[in-house]
Amino acid sequence: MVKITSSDNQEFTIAKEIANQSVLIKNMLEDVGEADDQPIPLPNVSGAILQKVIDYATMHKDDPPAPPEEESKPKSSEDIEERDKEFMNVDQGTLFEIILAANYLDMKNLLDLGCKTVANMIKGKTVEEIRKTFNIVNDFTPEEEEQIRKENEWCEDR
Amino acid sequence: MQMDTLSSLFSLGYRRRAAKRVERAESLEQPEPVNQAQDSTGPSPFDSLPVEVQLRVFAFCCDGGNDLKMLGRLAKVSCSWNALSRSGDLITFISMARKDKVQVLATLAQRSGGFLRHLDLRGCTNMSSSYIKQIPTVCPNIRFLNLSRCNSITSAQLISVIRRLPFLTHVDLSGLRCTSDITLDILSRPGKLVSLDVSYCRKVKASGLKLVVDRCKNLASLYLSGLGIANDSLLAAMSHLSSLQQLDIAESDDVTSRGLQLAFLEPSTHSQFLALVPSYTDTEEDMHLPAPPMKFMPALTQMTNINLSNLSLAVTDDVFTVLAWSTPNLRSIICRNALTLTDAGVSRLAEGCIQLENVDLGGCVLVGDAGLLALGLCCGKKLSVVRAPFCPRISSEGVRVLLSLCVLLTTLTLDSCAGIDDALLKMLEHDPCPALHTLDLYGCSTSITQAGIARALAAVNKPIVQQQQLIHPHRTLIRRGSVDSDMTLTELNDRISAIKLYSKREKELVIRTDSASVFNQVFGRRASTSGLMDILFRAF
Repeated sequence: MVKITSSDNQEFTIAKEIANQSVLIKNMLEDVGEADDQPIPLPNVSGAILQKVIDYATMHKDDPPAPPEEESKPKSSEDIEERDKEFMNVDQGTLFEIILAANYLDMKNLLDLGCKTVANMIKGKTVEEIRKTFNIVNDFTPEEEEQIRKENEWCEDR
Repeated sequence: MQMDTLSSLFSLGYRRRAAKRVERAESLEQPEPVNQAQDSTGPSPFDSLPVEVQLRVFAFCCDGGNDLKMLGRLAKVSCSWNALSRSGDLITFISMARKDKVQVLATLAQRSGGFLRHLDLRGCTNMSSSYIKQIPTVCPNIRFLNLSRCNSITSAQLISVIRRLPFLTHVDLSGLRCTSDITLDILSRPGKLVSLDVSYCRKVKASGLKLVVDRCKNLASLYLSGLGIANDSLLAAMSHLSSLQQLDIAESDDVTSRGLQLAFLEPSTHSQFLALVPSYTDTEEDMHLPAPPMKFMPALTQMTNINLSNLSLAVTDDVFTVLAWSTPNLRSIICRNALTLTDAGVSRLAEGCIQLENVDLGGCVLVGDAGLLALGLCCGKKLSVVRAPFCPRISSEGVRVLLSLCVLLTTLTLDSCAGIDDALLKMLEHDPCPALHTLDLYGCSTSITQAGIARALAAVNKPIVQQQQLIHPHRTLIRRGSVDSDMTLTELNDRISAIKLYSKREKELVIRTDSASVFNQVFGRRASTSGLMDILFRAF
């Protein structure tokens, strides 16, 4: 068993095979050795988000190891398991925090899942809808906007 | 190399970040509070993500450059999004299959440069030579190249392009007229090819292919359809390719049955095999291989898809027997017009290749209900597509058995099968197959009536029998009554009830009581009896 503590000092005790899904924790455990039973501090992740991450790791603890990434294959955001879709059915703030936590903890599958979920929120939306969804300010000057429009003419009207 | 650093940014990034994470932890910004997006004055939550994660999201958005429209839209959102969208590594994939303008190709190629991995120009017949020449200069790291039917390319241009793309692994030159043995020589020199399609490249000769087969040991896919040049010595060389998964040698007249068999046996055992089968002649009337187990090592064991169509008389029962020993992972077999193939061969194949999902036996005139039964019994859990047009020995009853055994079957093509009649449609009325969505009965015998079709359609919602073909059942070329089935209706009914019992009750019991009598009765006169009995016991 491995002990970890969140930014708000909540302590979690989890099985080693679950902890090892985080490359960060895995490396730390290798560095400090087995004997040390000091909890590992994770100052970038709040207790609530850590709980979500642990839920995810528990859900996927029996997954076969991922095959090496096929760089030539175009990535598809449609490729999400049903249970993962369910898992990612959270408000936007939590979603982004989970992505940050996955990035910090170095959990590739969870990071990809988060990125796919965000990508699916972007796909099929107009520029204005995208801005609204993510609270983005249009910071182009009118001249810049015109130039960008011209530059991207080639990928419209298809 | 620059492209390597950036393309592996993600994977390397993890490790680097993990190492630095602890020191960096304190200085990092805290995660954004929940529901930031609703607060219209706050920063965008998207900005809280590190750049490499943002890029990953973008990559998922535009499918590696597949969705260029999306890419263009991302650029218009804001200054920071515009900058991100210009990352070359978002475009690793360019496909001109959608009739893009050549100008688009140039823009894209410039943008992605060394990141471009996948260039698909199939059917671009208007490529000017200046663009073609630019390709290797601008995008030297292309792995996947598709120049299928780009017939404005000259032989010299093709050679010059291929010579300067040393990382090519997947190359599709199908229908490209200028492809020749010199092209294949240059392509095969680095020995990196994994997939090669030279279908319908008429200038390619067996000697050029031999170079590819000898040099590229990792070859997984080889498509030689319509070349007519594959021969026995090429096949013998192929048996060294241990990772070959897809092979298409349709329409090769010089292939013999023996050559096909040797291709699927370990090269070191070839001479042994030939010694064991000395009586082998080209007439091969009554020659049959000894039943398995064979003492020969199989080759090409990774094979998943194979196309052996139109090989004149080369595809015999013995070829299927060897396939059954050697290729346990076979998923798809297309074997049209194998005129000497019988139910015995199909049964052997089904027995050995239980992963089969797609079977096409069109025009195999000697294959009948017994073959379908074997396929159903052995591969019933996997089969999703069965095509058997122009097979006059197949009857409605045989199809009925097949359907009852194949729960996943989605497509069944039986056009111009003289043995199919309304009985099949009646069965659909009573027992609609849950997965079946296409049933092709075009040109079936006159015993398919409009009334039968109407009733079946009314009763069955799910199988969308191809409308046109059903409304106008074509008067058949193969005459009704020419069906030479070995089975009588009563026998078949017995068999079906046995199978139905099997599915509902304890399997063992049914077999012990029914199998011997029923199956001996049905198949007693056939040479394949023992084979089929084997299947039965295994399948049940």
